[in-house]
Amino acid sequence: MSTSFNLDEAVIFAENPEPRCPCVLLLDVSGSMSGPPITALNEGLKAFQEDLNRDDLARKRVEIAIVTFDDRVQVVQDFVTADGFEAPTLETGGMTYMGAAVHTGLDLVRDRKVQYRANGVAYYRPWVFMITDGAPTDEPGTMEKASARIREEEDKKGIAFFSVGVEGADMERLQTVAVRSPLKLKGLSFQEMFLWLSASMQQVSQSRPDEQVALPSPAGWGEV
Amino acid sequence: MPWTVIGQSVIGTGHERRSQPCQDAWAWKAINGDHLCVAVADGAGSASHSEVGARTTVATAVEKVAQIITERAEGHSPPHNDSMTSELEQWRLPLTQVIEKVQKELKLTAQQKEISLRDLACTLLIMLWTPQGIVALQVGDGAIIGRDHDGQMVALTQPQQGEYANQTLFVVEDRAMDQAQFVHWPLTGDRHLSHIALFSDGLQRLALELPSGKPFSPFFDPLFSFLDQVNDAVSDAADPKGILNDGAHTLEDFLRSPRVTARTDDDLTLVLLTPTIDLSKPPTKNRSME
Repeated sequence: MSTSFNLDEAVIFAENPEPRCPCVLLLDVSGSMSGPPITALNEGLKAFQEDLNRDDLARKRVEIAIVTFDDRVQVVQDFVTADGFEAPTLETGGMTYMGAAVHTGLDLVRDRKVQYRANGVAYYRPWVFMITDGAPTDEPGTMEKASARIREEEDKKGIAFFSVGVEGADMERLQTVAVRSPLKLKGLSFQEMFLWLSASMQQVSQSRPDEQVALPSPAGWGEV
Repeated sequence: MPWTVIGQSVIGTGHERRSQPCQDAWAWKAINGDHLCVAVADGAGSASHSEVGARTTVATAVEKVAQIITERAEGHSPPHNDSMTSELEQWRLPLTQVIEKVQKELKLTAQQKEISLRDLACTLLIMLWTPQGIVALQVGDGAIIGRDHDGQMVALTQPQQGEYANQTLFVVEDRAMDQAQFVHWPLTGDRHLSHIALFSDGLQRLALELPSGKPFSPFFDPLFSFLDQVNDAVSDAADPKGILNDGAHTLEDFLRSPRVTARTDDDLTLVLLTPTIDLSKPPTKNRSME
């Protein structure tokens, strides 16, 4: 009798939005990144796009936004789910307005959370992932204010802020920018770094009720 | 008054991929012929032994509830027919004792295994059907829902989440009872519940309209029709156990179907129950399903 009942066909699912896992990339496109570094970064972004899209759940859940910074801060990509993300080809310019970029990135996260709540979308703790090969050249005070904001957000678990220094980055200065220790990129292994970021985002976007997610080791591309 | 109870915990495809065990568990017990207790627990993702925590939690919860009800029936405990206290409040102390007993068992298990209590973290949902009404207690996410005789859905509890999708409340926490959802639905009023479902968070987005948490009838109606079919077959069968086993298999096939696993890779638990005798009609015969 019960085998005659086809639950698979009969049961209809509620249409709820997938929970979202936001990730903001803050990318240094100052003059010193020109040549092989920017080429490697662009290839890394493509690998990020492709790898996230191999995972059925991650492609619907991970949301990417990209902010670039040199003399100006640009939102190159506002939040988009991975299945709609097309890796941009970035070009390099002048100075390193890192502090302003951090403010823009944190603003994007803050506004996105408001949108999630207004639309009843569940979400995971946002990641902000900054890559630089220099040191901030903002107006005095801007970087300090940005760092204070990062600390405040980290304290209340509002975001997780990661920073990566490319060859030439002032690692000591970077140490003071965020709460978590910066990682030093090995050579130009952007590809490996973005594959790690993709794997981490897949883990987070599918994590079950709990706070700690065991992230893969960054040993393939970074060192402390 | 017996019930027909069908439930399954199945491992999520995400856990299979990562070679993790199923961290959901459920248990049930009919007590004294007029009480039914069902418990569901969902082990925390990164807690290393949460499958043990979930199994210990549901077994302990159901046994403690049974002990309390049996002692009351035998007159060892004060009767709970004090008309000054609401039905809900009369259950607060006993259910606090249940949570404390669960926490004590988990602490013992942690000591024996030389792990931290946190490694056993899990949620807990308890449904207790009494002659007066239905008591629901929930620590964490998942939900307990019901359907009344008119086919209207009722959310007895709702998922409890923190700011983030991967945060919730666990039974190992000191604040578990204080922050638990705790409700009583009277069976004496005009809105008799005829069907109940308990489920873990893996089914939340398929079974509820979020963020309101309203149960989604097109999800539950076919499941309850299926439960009614099993219920009818059980009442006339020479082998009710075999029919209940078939029913459990049908439920398992559904929970493992590609349509479900494409939407969620989490462990899934779904328990469906209905009284064997229709409460809206005078009882005709006694049935037992145990």
